[in-house]
Amino acid sequence: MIFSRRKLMSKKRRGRQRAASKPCAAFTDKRMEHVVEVSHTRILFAGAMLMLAFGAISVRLIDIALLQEATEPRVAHSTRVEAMRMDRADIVDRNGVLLATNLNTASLYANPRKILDPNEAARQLITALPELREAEIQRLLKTDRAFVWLRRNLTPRQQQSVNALGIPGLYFQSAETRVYPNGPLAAHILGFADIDNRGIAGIERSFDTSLRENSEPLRLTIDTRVQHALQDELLKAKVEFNAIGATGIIMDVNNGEILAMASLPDYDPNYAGQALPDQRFNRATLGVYELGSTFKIFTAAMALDYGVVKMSGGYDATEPIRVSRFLIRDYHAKKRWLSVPEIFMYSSNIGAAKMAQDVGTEAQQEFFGQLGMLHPARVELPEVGAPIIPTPWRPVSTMTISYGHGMAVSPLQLVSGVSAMVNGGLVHRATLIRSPSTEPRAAKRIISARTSLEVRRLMRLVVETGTGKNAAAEGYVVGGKTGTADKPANGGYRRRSLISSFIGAFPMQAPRYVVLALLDEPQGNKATHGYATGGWVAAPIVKRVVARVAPLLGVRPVDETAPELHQVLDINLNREGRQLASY
Amino acid sequence: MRGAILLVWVGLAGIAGFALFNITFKVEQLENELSALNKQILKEQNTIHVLRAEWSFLNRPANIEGLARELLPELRHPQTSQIGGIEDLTDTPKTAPDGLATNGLPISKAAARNGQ
Repeated sequence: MIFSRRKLMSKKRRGRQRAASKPCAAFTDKRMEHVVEVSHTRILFAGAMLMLAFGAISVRLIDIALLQEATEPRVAHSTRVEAMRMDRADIVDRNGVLLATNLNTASLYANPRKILDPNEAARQLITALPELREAEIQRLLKTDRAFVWLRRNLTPRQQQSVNALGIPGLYFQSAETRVYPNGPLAAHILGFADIDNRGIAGIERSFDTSLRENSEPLRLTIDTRVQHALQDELLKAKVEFNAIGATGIIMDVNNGEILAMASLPDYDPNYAGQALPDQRFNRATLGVYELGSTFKIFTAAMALDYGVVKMSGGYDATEPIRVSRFLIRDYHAKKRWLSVPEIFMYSSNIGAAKMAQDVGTEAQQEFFGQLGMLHPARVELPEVGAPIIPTPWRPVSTMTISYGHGMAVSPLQLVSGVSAMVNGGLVHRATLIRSPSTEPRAAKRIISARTSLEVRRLMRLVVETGTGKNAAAEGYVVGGKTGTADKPANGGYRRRSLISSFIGAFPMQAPRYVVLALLDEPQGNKATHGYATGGWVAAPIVKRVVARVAPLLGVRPVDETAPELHQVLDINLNREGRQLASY
Repeated sequence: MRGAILLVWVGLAGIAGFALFNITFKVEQLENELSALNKQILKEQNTIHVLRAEWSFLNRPANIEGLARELLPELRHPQTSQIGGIEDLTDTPKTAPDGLATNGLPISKAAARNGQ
């Protein structure tokens, strides 16, 4: 610019000089015009360049001032912050109580190459973390590696005290840890996740992908309070009767939702690595057992529904039945003809076997098939045991299965089956996942509503006057069936190793819940006169559990002598015109 | 005249530029504040998350039961007779709103007794 102005000046000067030397006016005017024209063009050009430059600056100014920078973090510009996102979603119970969550924790590691004095560092470190062993820490700090873990998942207090030591070469790494605030409560349902937050067992495993991908909590059907009551009562009974294990389930009969499911011995999923295989074994779903007389519920329902016998009918139970090497006899032998309610009430194996014989093998197979007992239970857990069914299914199998021997199913399958027997005859799939929808779940009919009512009457009879008296929780109209089975061993049965159980439902006039309590190898004591049968050891558990959980579940106690109940649950026996009072 | 117009334009451009920059700086300042607030919210969310876990830990039924046993030794599981509905409450007025004499009985029972 300066250069061109000088050039212009020099041209002007030269023009004036020329004009002075050659006084030709016309020539001078032309020359002047040319000069002005050139100058004008140059000024225009310079102006345009300036405008361009300012234009560019303005555009950039607008860009910086008004338009959002894409590379800047979104959170700084957003008017609302997104919810915190963890590696795994929470698991909550049906009421929203937290069962599993991820927490940020710090883990301590060291770079041994930067540790000045490993002995001194180890000595100081165990003052802050006394659970560490000094010799082990010394060994780790003396290695030639650049990275060694010293302690995973410190508490904030531990982190602070390690930090306060000020040892160079020690570092923290922040990571998410799966935490189960309720400890062993519902451990077998929840399962656990490993140190890398991968689901290893239980719901954590079956819903591993969705727990990682979703941020919404996974809502279970479990009720923490009910779960605790069941677990607590099972533990008390397990200790009292010195059993090797115990299991229990509470299910909503009207939709198959599992409210509580416990298996003992259990473990704390926060320390799953320390659990023994027996503790991690889920007896409720993975264990399959010959469940004994509780199967008579199915036998009676089947026989009544297929119309092979009526409530007023019966069988001669005077003599034991011998079929090949089996001797079918009664534990509480009456040695006479027994009506159907009596067969049920006194838990007559002979009567049940004859009933099943009348139903026939094929019909029995079909019935158990529809009930889902010939395949592993369908529930949202990976630990599900396959039932053991007789192959071939001989007529003798039909007879032994009628009273719960010769076929092993999981306790969950028993509970699902009994739910269908008492809820009006509908089979619901057992579930641990609470559905947000209020629509009734899909169900298929297996027995008529009338048969279901008759089964309920029979079950009530057992608690009222039969082998299940110890399950009578006052006011809650409990009905049920005891089961005591010898455990199989070496192709036969062990006499003193029992699976003692009681399966009950309440309130029997309009059942809402089924409760199962099962003890593995209980030992009788003074209080039970040495008996370890279902009626003595498992029925009281159900009584206490019902009394504890019914108020929590909104089941109100009723007057059990009320005529309305009699009307619904009375059984008319035709035997010599006698009426058996039961309701 | 031309000079005056130019001066006005330059003045206007200057004012616009100043306003633009002023707004920019203010926005930047507000964004920093928002960023700090968002960070604070995230921190609080994390704290709430930890507190929820702690709440669940402290409220685990076994813990409450243990505390009740220790601090309320007379506390027992409720008996069936102690459980009822609101209409079973005996603490009802001697006279129901419609003049029905209850004699301390629940209104429903008193009504049933009087055949109402």
